[in-house]
Amino acid sequence: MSDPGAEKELDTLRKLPENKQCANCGVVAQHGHGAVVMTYATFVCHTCKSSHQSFSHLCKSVSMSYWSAKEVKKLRDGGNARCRAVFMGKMDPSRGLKPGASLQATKGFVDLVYNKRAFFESRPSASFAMSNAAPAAAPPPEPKPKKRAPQAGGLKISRKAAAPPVAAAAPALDLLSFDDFAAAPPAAAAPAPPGRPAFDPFGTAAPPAPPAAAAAPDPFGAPVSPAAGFGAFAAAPAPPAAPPAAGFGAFAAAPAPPAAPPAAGFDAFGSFAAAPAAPAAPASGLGGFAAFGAPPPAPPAQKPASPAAGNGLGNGLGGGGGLGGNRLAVSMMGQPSTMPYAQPPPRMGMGMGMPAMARGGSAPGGFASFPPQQPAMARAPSAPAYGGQAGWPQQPWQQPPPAFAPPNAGTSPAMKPNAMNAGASNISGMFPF
Amino acid sequence: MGLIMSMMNSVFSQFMNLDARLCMVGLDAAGKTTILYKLKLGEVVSTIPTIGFNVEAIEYKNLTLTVWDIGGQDKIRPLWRHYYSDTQGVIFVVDSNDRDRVAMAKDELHGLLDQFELRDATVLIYANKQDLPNALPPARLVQELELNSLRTHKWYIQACCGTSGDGLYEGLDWLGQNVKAHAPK
Repeated sequence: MSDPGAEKELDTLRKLPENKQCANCGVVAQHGHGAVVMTYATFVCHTCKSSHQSFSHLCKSVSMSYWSAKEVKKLRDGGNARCRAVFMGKMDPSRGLKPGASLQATKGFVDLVYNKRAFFESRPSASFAMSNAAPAAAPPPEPKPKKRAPQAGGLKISRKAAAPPVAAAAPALDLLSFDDFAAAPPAAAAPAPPGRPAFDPFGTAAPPAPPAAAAAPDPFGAPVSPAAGFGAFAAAPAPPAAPPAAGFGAFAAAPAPPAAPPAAGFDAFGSFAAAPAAPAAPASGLGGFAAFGAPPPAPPAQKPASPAAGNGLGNGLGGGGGLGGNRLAVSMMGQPSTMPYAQPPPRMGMGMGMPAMARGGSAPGGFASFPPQQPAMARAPSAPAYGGQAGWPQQPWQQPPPAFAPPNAGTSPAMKPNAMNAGASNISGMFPF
Repeated sequence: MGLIMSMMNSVFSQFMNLDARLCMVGLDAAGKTTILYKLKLGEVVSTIPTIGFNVEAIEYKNLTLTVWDIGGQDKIRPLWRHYYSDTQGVIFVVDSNDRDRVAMAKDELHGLLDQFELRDATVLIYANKQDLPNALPPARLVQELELNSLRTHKWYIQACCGTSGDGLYEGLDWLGQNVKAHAPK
């Protein structure tokens, strides 16, 4: 786990003059900063670390995390000077963050610089060579494009500088920057974390194809599940979308659902339920899941969500249904016998509906079956909720996708801002046994 | 008979003040401290990594929850187990946006629930950071965390956003109904 040698070197690195200065706000720590943003290989102060964390940039603590030689090497290759040269290369110094800036200001800055990449400098070599020590200025020894894919999760900003423009445009920011995903070439999205082997084929094979947004204009587009390849669903509406799907892998499927604007490509994983029109399976190998989640009866599932929007969770989270506009919850009681009093009544109803579904499909399918339950979740008057249930055994996934796609397209505008709404809001008490 | 008793119990619990001791754990940067202080103070505090723990008593409805928020950095994770005894519930916080480490979170969660002291604990999972565009929805987390294989504990996953507070009280609602609280000592 722990590597004393690596940790010693880490301590040396954090005390380098350029690393003593927080990469974002420039505040100087006498003995070096205690927080590291692994995603960008920088040493930062606590406020900046908090800001990075709020965007899920991977942060580690110098003293409270285990360090491997590989991670330390990444920091050696990266470091604050390089990060500044790359991500703040085009920044007017007056716009920089001042030491002691508030958390809110810092968050805004981090979002601007790292997520939106407002000042991204793809070839900082000239200025950077002067400002940093030897290792960083050295020519890139590892710019084999293939190698980049396996590295996946980690971001290698280092070396990117001297690489040709295409490579520079695809800083393997893995999944963190989907807000500008639409504009980025698929290569940027391709490197999938090793944990999801299903994507790897695309990660390595992804050619510099046209941007996703441009390539998937089809409103019903791409119900193509790159990993699982569901013949049935993928095939039906595939023709328009098939070619791009090959290029972008899982991510191409995301912009497809009419509910998601192109820029909302991030939704790829999340939207299995949000996108009744998109059998784009979360490529996790749970085929059954996707199969259910995909084509559930769109209108009943979507409509009730809107009235529910004002209800609780929804506000302030991206408009529309917000976080789902209702309880985004999945529940499962360990002991079914406790259910009658532990669960609110509507859930009991669902629970009873469950066995039928379970018989209908695979185990994960149990969860994919939420969409029909949406009405109940939305806290609509409970009667209609059961209507949704009753409709379920008809196995809506047998419907040809085009049948439901158009109505869905009609309802989609309201749903647009938050595809997140999706998976979540449709789920409720489940008894997956 | 047991059913009647438990029904009566659930009725009475509406009126009684009950105590429960909860342990809030999760990987580092999942948002535990933010959630704790959002619940306690109703505001977002700027946090530094928790070394050791924060502990706060939170009153919610008829329930007094003593929440221990334990640091999640990998070097101090082995310390979690020292906080388990006499714990009625676990709040496990996951950063829904951190897809790379969901697997790690899964391992920690399942490891946690294998602990003998937590055999009766009720588990609330906060799928935090749902405000981020790339966040996994709870349904995906159910898969990724393999919650379906979790038959030994009552569990519930609640999407939330620690900074805005959305979803936090919904989670507590469930916990309030399901945790085995006891009368104040």
